[in-house]
Amino acid sequence: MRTGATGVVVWVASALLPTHARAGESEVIFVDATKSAGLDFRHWNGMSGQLYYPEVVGAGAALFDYDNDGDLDLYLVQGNLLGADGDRGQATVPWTGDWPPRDRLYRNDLEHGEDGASVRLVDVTDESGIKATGYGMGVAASDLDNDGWIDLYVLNLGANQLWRNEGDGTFSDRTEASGTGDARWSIAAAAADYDGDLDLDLFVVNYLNFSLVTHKTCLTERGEIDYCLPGAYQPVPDLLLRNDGYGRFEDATADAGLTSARPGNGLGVLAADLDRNGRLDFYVANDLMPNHLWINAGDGALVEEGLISGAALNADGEAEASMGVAGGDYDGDGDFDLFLTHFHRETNTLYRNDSEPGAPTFRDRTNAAALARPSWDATSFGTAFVDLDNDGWLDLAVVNGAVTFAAGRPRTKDDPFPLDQPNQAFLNVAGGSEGRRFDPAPAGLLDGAAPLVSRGLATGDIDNDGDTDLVITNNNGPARLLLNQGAAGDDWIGLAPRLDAARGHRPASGVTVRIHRGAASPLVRLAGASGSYTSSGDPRITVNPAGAEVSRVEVQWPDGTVEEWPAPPPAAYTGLVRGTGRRTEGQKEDGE
Amino acid sequence: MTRPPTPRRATAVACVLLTLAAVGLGAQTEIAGRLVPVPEVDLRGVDEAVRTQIAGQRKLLDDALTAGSPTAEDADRLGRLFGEAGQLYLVYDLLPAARACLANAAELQPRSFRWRYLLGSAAEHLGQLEEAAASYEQARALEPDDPATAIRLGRVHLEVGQGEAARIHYERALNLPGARAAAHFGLGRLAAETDDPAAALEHFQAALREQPRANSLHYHIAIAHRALGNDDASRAAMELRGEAPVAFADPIAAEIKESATGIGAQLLLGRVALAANAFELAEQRFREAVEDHPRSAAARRSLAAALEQMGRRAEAAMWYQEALNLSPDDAALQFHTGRLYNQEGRFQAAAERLRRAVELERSFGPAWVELARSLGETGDHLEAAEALTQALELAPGDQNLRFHRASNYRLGGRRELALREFEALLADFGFNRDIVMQLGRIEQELGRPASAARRFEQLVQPGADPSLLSAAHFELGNIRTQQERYEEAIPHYQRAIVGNPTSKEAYLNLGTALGRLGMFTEAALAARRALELDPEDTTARAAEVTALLLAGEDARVRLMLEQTLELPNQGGSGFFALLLAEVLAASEDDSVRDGAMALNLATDLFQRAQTPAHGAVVALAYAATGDFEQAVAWQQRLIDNLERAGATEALPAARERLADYQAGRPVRTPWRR
Repeated sequence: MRTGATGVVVWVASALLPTHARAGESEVIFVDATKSAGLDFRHWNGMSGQLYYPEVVGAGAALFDYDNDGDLDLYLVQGNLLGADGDRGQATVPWTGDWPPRDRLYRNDLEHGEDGASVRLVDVTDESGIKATGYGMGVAASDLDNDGWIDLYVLNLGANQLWRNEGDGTFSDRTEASGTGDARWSIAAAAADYDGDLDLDLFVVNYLNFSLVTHKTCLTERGEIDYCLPGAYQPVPDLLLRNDGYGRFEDATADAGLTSARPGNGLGVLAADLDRNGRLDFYVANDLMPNHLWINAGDGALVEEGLISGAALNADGEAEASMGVAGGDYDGDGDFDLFLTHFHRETNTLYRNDSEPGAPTFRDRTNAAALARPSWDATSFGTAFVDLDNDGWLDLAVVNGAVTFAAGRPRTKDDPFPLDQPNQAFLNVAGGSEGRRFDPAPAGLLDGAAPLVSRGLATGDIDNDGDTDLVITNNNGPARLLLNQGAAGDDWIGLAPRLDAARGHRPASGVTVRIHRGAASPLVRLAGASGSYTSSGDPRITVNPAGAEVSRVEVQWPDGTVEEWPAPPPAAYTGLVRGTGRRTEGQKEDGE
Repeated sequence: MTRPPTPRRATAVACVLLTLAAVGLGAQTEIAGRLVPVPEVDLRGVDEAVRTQIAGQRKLLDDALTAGSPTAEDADRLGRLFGEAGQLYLVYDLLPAARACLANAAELQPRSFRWRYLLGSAAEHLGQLEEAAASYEQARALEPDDPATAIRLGRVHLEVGQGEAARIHYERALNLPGARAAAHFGLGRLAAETDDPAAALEHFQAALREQPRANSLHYHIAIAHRALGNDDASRAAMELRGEAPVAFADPIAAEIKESATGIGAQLLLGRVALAANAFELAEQRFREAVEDHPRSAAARRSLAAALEQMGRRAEAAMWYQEALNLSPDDAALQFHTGRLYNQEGRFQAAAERLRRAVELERSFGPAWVELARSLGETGDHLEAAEALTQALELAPGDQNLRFHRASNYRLGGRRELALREFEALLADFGFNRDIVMQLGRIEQELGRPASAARRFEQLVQPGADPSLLSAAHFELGNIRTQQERYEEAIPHYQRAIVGNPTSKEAYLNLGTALGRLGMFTEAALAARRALELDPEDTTARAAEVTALLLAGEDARVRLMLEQTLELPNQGGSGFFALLLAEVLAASEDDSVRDGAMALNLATDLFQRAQTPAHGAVVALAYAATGDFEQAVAWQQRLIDNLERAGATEALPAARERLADYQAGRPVRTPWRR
């Protein structure tokens, strides 16, 4: 634990939290460490007054350890000029950096002092060799060629790019060789082993058929020109790329059955075992269309079960404008629930997972969890289930920013992009008709100096102190680094599931981790980098056992096998390498 | 109202309320104290038809607020006006303003169910569910059996997690006509929320029986079956799922929806179509609006704008004029009409409209600019500059406006002023090629070729825009020609042609420079290129012929001149005919020379134009036929006329020619002298 000398404490929650106490309750403090850490990235959407749809959509970030030095580095996706005949002089907001704008890679030179670790982010884009100058949207960070070094898959308006980590601090463009250069408008991707062959495949989420040719001018009901809504364009099908184990991919979209469902306006994707059958499924957040739940049949096929499972539409039976998605066990019943972020005048939606193995079932519990009203005015994007207050219960972080002036404020010459909205955090507390509900944290907790037009949210333990920090990306604004300075204590446990030690560090993705705590119910966590919006988070997990003694930990791998290990040491990260634990038949209750 | 005012910007209504308080009108201040301010609505980007509609309603409201001593009837009327304004804001999704207006309406007309109900609706849309529930409860107290109120109350209670309250309202709605299906649906939703899928299924199925067209219910039935473990039934029901929602009787909401289909909505539909490039549909919508609203200038203006966008300018101009007839004091309409006239080249008419536009609205910047364009095109450059001065007052420092004003000063003859303006622009904005070009031209016009050349030299740098580069070389060529530095002029013209191969003037001037150096064949070629670019250009034709004559190509010249004179409506035919007569009379080439033909042509031409030149050619033709007596007589008459006219400079050559005739010497190729 450390307080950054130059950071600004944006909120101290102890005096403001609801009076009802809960075990392990502690302060929630976030420090805006953007400046002190040297994070100087500013997203530029290249708007020129034409209101091109993609201008309001990007962009994301990835937290990943590119140099294998044990801490999280940061990759940030950049926009570019759109239209304007390539004349950047026509941009509403001038671009002030080197031309062309490009994505940036920051190395985390974590410094350890008496007060703890201090994050120092150093821009290493030039030496990394990454020249990502497309109109960027999202990024997925995973080891895609099984060499022990985490690669980057960048999603663009236009051809996506695969940057292979060469292991010497540099990356090379392997887009063509890998067969991953989907030229459609892609937003996000989940790297996950859906076919159980222990390499990471890619589920690429595509959005709409926008181009400068198909660009439309849209009006509000009052006749004001505004950014379009997705109905103005046609949805573009998603893409499933199967990994051959060496970083080459083949299109498995049709083979897996993805063409069986009507394409959606995809924006977010989560990989997790959602129906508790031991295999990885994919959940796709679609904008104003029913969401897709691709259940893994285990034979290479994915079956769309969104509608029948209750996870595609809200309790009113309506499709919502889903943007971001988070998966986590908010109610402590051992499965992964879903949280979807939406447009203004829609609620964000919490789907409680009531699945029996092989029978996915979800129920909209937004009202019961008190999550409906706080999101009514917000247009929400990045989101994650994280234990913000280190009490062992998963809270919610949500970042917001409007996409239309109708939902923000009318634009003026002085304020050409008035889409900023406050971000939000919700603390998981006891109460409500179902035992758990979410109380809004006071305003400003996740806003730094002021609200911006937030889009991406990448979560991870950036300073390796056992709690979860946040990187928030802002459209046409600076990225923010918020360090969690709450008291994680000394009994936190860090776990890093890895697929294969012999081939180096290979973080697993989408695996289920159970932390057994004696008589207390196990804490179940999703390890992996998917979900949220356009972003990729820490592949490790950190948990606070909330005063209970940890007896053992268990990992369910993508091929369905389950292994367990004795209780790991506290206040440190422990690697859980596949094949080094004790094989079990599956989930066991403590005390058996 | 006990609810605190919405913390927004000050408003017109708020100002009126303060005024009422200040003048101490007892009853009015009492009313004022009961009202909440209406948030300002930013209408800047809003469709004009909508803006007009809202502004009209707001004016009615403001007028009523500032009217004389209020009575109970006035308060009632004010309540109605607030309510109507609130409805309008609701239609256009201006919810905070709608909420405030409806709150005031409900305050002033406390027995009005409508305002309470709509206030609940506004609050519900704003996500203020407790406030919505309170308003709906007040509405229910006024009309206990209204089905829509019961359903909405059930819904807001359900959404805030007050299940029991929701149940009470839904169960009550089961007995209200027009609400049974929605009540069953609500109860089904409530049962599903409380994990009672059996009860949920029962209610959803009952709702479907009540309202079979509501096929969205199949989804909920499927989910309930799934929760009960009836997988097959669930999938079968899901197959039947549709999009039709469960409806309930809600006449007020229907009215609000309907009120959005007036002219504002009609025009909006057209503009939506226009924005989607569906031009025919847009035209159809606007024509419908025009037919439905014979007094609507907005409808006509919209149609005109659409037609203009479709390139049908003449029709557009007609509809703008129609709109103007209905709304002659509309500055924007005057502007659009004038702008269109400018595009059509009707600059005088445009100036008239645009003058009226700026009379109506002095701060109408685009109208000043457009007016300057009209005036510039009609040659009123100094007035155009004045219009641009007005525009500049509205946009001080605008570089383009300053540039155009200086250009107009130049074209209007105020070159020193123009020079200063362009110099100032250069100082303010740094090096700019267009400005330097203008400066060079002014220097040239002021007779300062050296200064002008220095300006143009600045422009002939690598990387410059080709058209500008070409223009600069052209000007430099002209300066060098004026200075009789033809060797230097020629490469400039050649570079001008490289940059702009369609520059007729560059070819012509190149030809002149070449001719001055005695390179007549090349000069003729340059003139031929100019002529190819513009076959009607008589100057180019004359230049070619002249150059060929000087090159000794008499036979070719005769043929060309004869062909030229056969061309219909050939401009300059008098010049070419006279030249032909001169060639026929004085060519050294025996195959070309023909004295009789020359005499016929010359005398014929002299009948038409008795100028000294024509007389001289007659004399020349007589000499060519060997009739020196007549040649001497005609030449002497020419000299006499020149003496009378005082044209002393032409006399020596004329007398020399006379001496030739007197000596019986025929004259050959006088043009080479």
